[in-house]
Amino acid sequence: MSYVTSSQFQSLIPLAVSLPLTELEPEEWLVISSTVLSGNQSFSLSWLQVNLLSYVDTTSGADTLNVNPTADGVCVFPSGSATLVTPGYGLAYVGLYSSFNALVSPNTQPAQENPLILGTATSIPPVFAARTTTPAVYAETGPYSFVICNNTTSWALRLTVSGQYVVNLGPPPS
Amino acid sequence: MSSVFVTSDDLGRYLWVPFNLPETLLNPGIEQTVSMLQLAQGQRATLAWLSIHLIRVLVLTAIPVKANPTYNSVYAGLYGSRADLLSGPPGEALAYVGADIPGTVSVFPPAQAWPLDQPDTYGVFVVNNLTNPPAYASVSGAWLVHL
Repeated sequence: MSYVTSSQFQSLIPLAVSLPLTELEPEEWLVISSTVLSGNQSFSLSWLQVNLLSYVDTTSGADTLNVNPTADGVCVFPSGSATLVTPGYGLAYVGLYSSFNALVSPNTQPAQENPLILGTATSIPPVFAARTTTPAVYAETGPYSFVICNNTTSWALRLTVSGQYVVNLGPPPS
Repeated sequence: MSSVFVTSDDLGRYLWVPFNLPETLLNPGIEQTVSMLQLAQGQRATLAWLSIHLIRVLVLTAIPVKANPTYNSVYAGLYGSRADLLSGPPGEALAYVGADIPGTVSVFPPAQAWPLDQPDTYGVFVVNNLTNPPAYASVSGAWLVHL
């Protein structure tokens, strides 16, 4: 077990990746949190979660759905299926990008690691996804952004994101 | 801190408080509150990190003019309780970080982490300092509170 000095402690700055409940229109994206690294700085990412609470099918013209019970008293919801912009990227995804260009869709820009993918085309809210890979350290200088993208062509998604990354003002851990 | 190494007492007395404003539309001349911190007598804090991302600016119809030429086009500032929050941009910042070019991410230099040792209510505000047009920005930062 190693010890942490007071200067090391004050050099490790936790920053939030926090998106309160937000409705994201189809094919839209949004920058959640950004930072920029210089010199010997680095940051580690170990916690990232995204929740889809509900969605609105913008092609239906209504955000409510009437479901009547069957003779057995069972409510059967229609098997909704979204059309995805980028197959395999779920209903939405959260990606970490370097030098992100907000004018261009994230699906055309290289992510620093595999995006956190939320659900599939047939998922029904609530849908939850969490980053499960081991913590990653990024030490290249430059700007970084966490971006969430609605990967559907017609569903407005109501989402929240919670996460944390820790900036290290000193050299990256060996 | 009392020693070279962090003790369990130290961990109990130091509290990181991160804050984050996701991409938000800022109308000209309007400030948006990002985070507020109230310090009681004997408490201290440090604004350890403050960064702003000027994501994009809506369509320019004229050459943008800054409301306050001292500051960047869009900036995040640290203010004490004397900040004027009723009449537009809140006056002179204790410290700030700003950006002029869309797509730019700027960070408050950590070497200048801003110590706060007076009892007061402190706030971080993001301001669109342009008279026109609206802009989208995000802000991230963290307080280190010394309980």
